Amino acid sequence: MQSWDNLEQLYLRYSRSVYRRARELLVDDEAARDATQEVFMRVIRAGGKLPLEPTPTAWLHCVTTNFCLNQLRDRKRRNDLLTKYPPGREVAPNGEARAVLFEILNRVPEELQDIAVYFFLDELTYDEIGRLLGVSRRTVSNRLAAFRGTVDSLFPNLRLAQ
Amino acid sequence: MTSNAAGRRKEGCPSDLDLDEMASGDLAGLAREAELRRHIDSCAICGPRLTARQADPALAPDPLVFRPLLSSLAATARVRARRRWMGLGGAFGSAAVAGLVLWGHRASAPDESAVDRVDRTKGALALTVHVKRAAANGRTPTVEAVNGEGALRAGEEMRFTVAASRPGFAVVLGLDGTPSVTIYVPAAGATARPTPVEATRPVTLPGSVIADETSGFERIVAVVCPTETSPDSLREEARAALARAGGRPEAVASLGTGCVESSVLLRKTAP
Repeated sequence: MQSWDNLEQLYLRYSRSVYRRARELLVDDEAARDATQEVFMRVIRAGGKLPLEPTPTAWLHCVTTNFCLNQLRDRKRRNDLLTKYPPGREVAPNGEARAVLFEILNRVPEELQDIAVYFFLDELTYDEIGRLLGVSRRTVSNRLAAFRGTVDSLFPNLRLAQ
Repeated sequence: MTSNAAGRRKEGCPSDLDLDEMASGDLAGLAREAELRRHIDSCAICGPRLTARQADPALAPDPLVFRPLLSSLAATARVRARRRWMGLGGAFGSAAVAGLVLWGHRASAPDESAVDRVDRTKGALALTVHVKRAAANGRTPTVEAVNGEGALRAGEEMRFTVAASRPGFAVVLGLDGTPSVTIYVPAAGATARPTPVEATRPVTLPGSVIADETSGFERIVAVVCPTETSPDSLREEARAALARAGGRPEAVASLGTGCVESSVLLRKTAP
């Protein structure tokens, strides 16, 4: 655990990555600023302590991701995917397909959402996700399989990239 | 490593998170940083990726976000001070409470002197390079605290602060791509003694350095040894490390001194 007495320094050092991450997920500058503030408020409430493993940046990345996913769940954006995306269309994590991913996330269990974001949006490998979450590669693989299974059952005409 | 076959990221290219970790300084001095740097320098995709992120003004720290945090911090300090007072069992009067509250507030207030703005870390050595930016258009020069990576122009002045988890003796070296190694601290060079540092607080090391006109990367390395170690011998180890890295300071991961090390990578440009 790394303890920061000078929180301004902590903010100057890490706010870029937190804001970038929040903006990427929320696609809204104002909401991203609010998210950034909330994440640093949490760090302050925790006494300015940041875990060193895997790295402080990675830890903040996870905290920001979870916070933003909560925000997105609250937004309740639910559109009809099947009308927007015809059968057989491949979902890759770029452009409009990212919106599809978030629509899907609204319908799968929370415990599978972050790992789906790390894989499909961040394009992290199994090993990188395992390091980030402190779980084994097998666990990552199992959770992604569960995610795919859930998506298959909910959206039988949707095909996720492997 | 299993590649992610989902989309844009090419096999072997760093993730956005990798770039964030490198830019924040979390990987400073680690082999991973040198590995990423090598890739970025040779990759037609990742070089522009990193440049675009560094140049994005929207990502600059936003004072409108930080100011409320400072207010919250002051409030938190006041609550802590009250709790500390309550823990003393009411042995002191209300004047003492006020004193604690004021102390907490003062301790948490932002420091006006940029040179003294330093984070204290526990469990690691942290080097901060304070760069006095040249004044432009008659403006007052500013001082920027750099951790991890940053930019430096010829003629700009640098000072160094270290925060060590254990007391020791500090030496600061500059490794550039000419390739050469310069002893920055102690200021008198190889014959002078290393600067003692405490573990209780960050120490701004004596002296300052004016950046010369050599362009390219320069890695500033702070080395804190438990006993006084000759700066000249540390410079020799730095030279060997630089040679092992092919004369590329950006590729130096560690000097291999056996002491604790922390570094900042600067990209030097003309004024």
